Amino acid sequence: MNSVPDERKKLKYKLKKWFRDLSTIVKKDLLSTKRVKQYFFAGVIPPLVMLIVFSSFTQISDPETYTVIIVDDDNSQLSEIMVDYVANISSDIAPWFTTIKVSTYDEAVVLLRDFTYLGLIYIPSGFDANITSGIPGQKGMVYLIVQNINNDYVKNYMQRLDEAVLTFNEKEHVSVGSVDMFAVSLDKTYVIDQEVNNGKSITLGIIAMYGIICGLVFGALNIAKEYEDSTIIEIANSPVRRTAYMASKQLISVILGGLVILILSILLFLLFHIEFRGDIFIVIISFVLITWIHSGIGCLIGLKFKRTMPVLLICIIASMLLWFFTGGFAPLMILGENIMLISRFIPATYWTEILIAETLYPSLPYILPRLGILIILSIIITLVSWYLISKEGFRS
Amino acid sequence: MNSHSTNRSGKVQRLFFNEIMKNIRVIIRGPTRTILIISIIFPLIYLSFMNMIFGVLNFNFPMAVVIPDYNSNEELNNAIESNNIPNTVQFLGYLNNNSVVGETIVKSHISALGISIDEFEEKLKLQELPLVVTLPLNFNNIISQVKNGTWTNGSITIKLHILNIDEDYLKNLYFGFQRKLKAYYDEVLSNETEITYVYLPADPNRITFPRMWTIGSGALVFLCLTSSMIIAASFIFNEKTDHMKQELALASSKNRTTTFFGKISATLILTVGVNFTIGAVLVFLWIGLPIPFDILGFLLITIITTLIGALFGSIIGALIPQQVYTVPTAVFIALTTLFLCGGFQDIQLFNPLLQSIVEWVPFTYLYVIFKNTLLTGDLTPPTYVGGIILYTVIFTLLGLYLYHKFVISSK
Repeated sequence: MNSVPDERKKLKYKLKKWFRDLSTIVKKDLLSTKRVKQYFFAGVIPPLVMLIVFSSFTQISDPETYTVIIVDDDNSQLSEIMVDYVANISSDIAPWFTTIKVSTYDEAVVLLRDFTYLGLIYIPSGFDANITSGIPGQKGMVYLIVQNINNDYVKNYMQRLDEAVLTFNEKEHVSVGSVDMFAVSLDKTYVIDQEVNNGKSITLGIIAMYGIICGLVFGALNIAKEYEDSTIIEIANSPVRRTAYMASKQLISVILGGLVILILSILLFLLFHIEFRGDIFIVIISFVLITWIHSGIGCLIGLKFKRTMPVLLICIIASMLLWFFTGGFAPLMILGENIMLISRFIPATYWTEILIAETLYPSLPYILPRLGILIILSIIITLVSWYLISKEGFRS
Repeated sequence: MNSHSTNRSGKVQRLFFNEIMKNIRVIIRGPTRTILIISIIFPLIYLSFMNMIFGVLNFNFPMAVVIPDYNSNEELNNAIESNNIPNTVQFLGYLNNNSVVGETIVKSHISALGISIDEFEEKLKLQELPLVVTLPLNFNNIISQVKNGTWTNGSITIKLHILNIDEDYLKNLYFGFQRKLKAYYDEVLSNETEITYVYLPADPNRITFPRMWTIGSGALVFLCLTSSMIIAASFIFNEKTDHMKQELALASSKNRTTTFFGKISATLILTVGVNFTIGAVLVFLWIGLPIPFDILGFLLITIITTLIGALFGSIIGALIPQQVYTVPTAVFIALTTLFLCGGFQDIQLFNPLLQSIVEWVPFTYLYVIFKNTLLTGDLTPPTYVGGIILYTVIFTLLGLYLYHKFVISSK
C-alpha cells in the first residue's frame, strides 16, 4: 500500500544525494581552476589571437580596395565618364579601386614594372570616336595591365573592371542614329538587411570557437588534472556517484565557458558593431548544449592522455580543426560539397549556424531542426562519455 | 702551447656534439616527442584549409530563375520544352555555363525555375538558395527585338535577390554572376556592347603563378618557423629544469655559449632533417609545387629560415614561465608573421603604411626570399638578404644574453 510513497521518498533521497555530490565536486573544481592559470590561457587566448591576426589582416591590408593607375589618352567626355566609374565603383562595404591618375602611359608602365603599383587601366585615344562611330561591332577599348604575381590578383582586377565596364554599358546609352543602345542593368536586393563584412563574419566565427574550445579544454584539463594530482584515486574510493562526478566536470565547463563567452561576446559585439537580431534564449541554450557536448568529448580526451600538456595541445588543435570545418572561419558554401557533407556530422556546425543565423537573420524553421539535432547529440555524447569514464576512469 | 689549444678546442667540439646528441635524444625519447608531430600538423592544418578555399579553383553556387511571363510552372516548362522562348533559354544557358576568371572557374548552376519570387522566399530564408534571379516581363521578345535592331526603349532590369550571409561569399557570387553576364554581352549581344576591355599581363615572359604556390611557399616558411621555434624553445626551457644547470652555472662563458649553439644546431638538424623534409614532401605533392630551379639555394634559405626561427625560439624558451606555453606562443607568433609578413599574400597588396612597417620585420625578408628562391630560383632581393644576415646576428646576441640571464642564472 505504502510502496509508491516509499519509492518516491527513495528517489527524492537519491536525487538529493546526487545533487549534494555534484555541488561538492563543482566547488572543488572551481577552486582548483582558480589555481590553474593554463585553463584560461588555453581556453581564452587562442581564439583571441586568431581574431587579432585575422581582423588586423583584413583591416590593415585593406584587401577589398585595389589600387590602380589610370592613364586616359583620349581625354574625352565618355572616357572621363569611364574613369569616374572605375573610381567610384564599390561594394556596399568598400570601394573596389583606389585610383592614381598618371599622365603618360610610359610613366605608368615604369610604376607598374617596379611594383610601385600592381594594376594599370589604359584608355587609348579613339575611345569616344569608336563608341559613337555607329559602325556595328566598333567598341571603345580599355586595356587592363596587371602585375601577374599570382592568379588571384589578376582575377580580382578583372572582376572589378568587369563591373565598371558593365556599369558603363548599362548606364551610358549612346544613341546611334535614332536607336537607343540596349543594355541589361542589375537591381540588387539583399536578403539580410544589415551589412555583413568580413570583420563581422570572423567575429561570429570566433565566438562560435569559444563554445568549442571552452568545452574541450575545461573538460579535458579537469580530468587530466585529477590524474596528474592523483585525486582521481580519492574520488574512486569516495562514495561520490560517478554520474554526479561526470556531470560536475561538464557543468564546470559550461559555467566557466559561459563566463568567458559572455564577457567576450559583449566586447566583440560592441567593438565590431554587430547588431543582434534573434532570440538570446535560443543562443544560450545552444551554447550550453555545445559546451556540454564538447566537455563530454574533452573528458574522454583527458581520460585517454591523463596529462595536461598533451591534452591541452590536442584540444587546441581539435578546436582549430573544428573551427575550420564547421563554418567558423569561412562559410561552408565556399568550401564545397564534400566539406559541407563532412560538416553535417560535426555538432559544432549546428551551433555555428544557430549563432550566425540568430545574430543576422533569425528564422525559426531554420533554427529549430538544428537545435533538435544538438539536443539529440548532447544526450548521445553524454551517455557515451559517462559510460566510458565510469568503466575506464576509476581503474587504479 | 699548440697541443694545449688543440686540446681545448677538442673539448669544446666534444661538448658541442654531446649537447646536440643530448637534445636530440631528449626530444625523440622523451615525452616532448609529440612536439615534433604537432609542429608539422599546424602548418598542414593551415594549408589544408587554404587549399579548400583557393586550391580547388572553382566556385560553385546554385541559383533559381524567375520567369514571370506564365501563370503556372507547367506552362513555363511547356514553353521551354516546345522551344517557344529560345532567347530566354539561351540566356539561361549562359547562367548555367562555367565562366573562367584567371584560373578560377565559376560553376554556378540553375537549380530551379519558377514564375514568382514568392516560390523561393522560404528557400532564401532557410539559406538553401543564395541567389534568385528575376527576369523582366517579355524578356524573350525584348532580346528578339534587340537582335533585329528594332528595340528602342533603352535598358531593361534583371532583379537579383542575394543572400548576403558573408562578405567573401557575396563578392564571389556577385562577380561570378557579372562574369556570366559579360560573356552573354560579348558573345550574344556584341553589337550592342559599347565598350569592352582586354587583359594583358605586365610581364608576358613570366607565368602567372597560381595562388596556391604563394600559399604553399608561405606554408613551408610557417612550417620551418613553427617547428624550429617550438623545438628550440623546448630545448632552452628544458635547461631550466635540468640537473646539469647548477654545473653549467659554474662553467665558463665559452662552455655556456657552446651549449647554446649545441641546442640551436640540434634544432636545425631536427627541423630540416625531420620536420621540414616530411612537411615539404607533403606540400610539394599536395599542391604540385614545381621542383626548385636552384636546389642548393633553396636548401640554403631553408637553413637560414630555420636558424632565425631557432634563435627566436630560444628567446621564447628563455622567457616563458612554463613549458606548456611553448607551442601556443610559437604557433601564434608564426601565424601572425604568416598573415602580416607576406606568407599569405604579397606585401605589395598591403596599404603603404603596413608595407613600410613590415619591411623592417625580419620575417618579411624570409617569406619574400624563400618564395623568390622557390619559384624563380633567385636568392633576391639582395637588400633583404643583407637584412637577414643583420637580424641573425642580433637574434644570436639577444638569444645568448637571455640564455645566460634567464636560464643559466635563474633560480
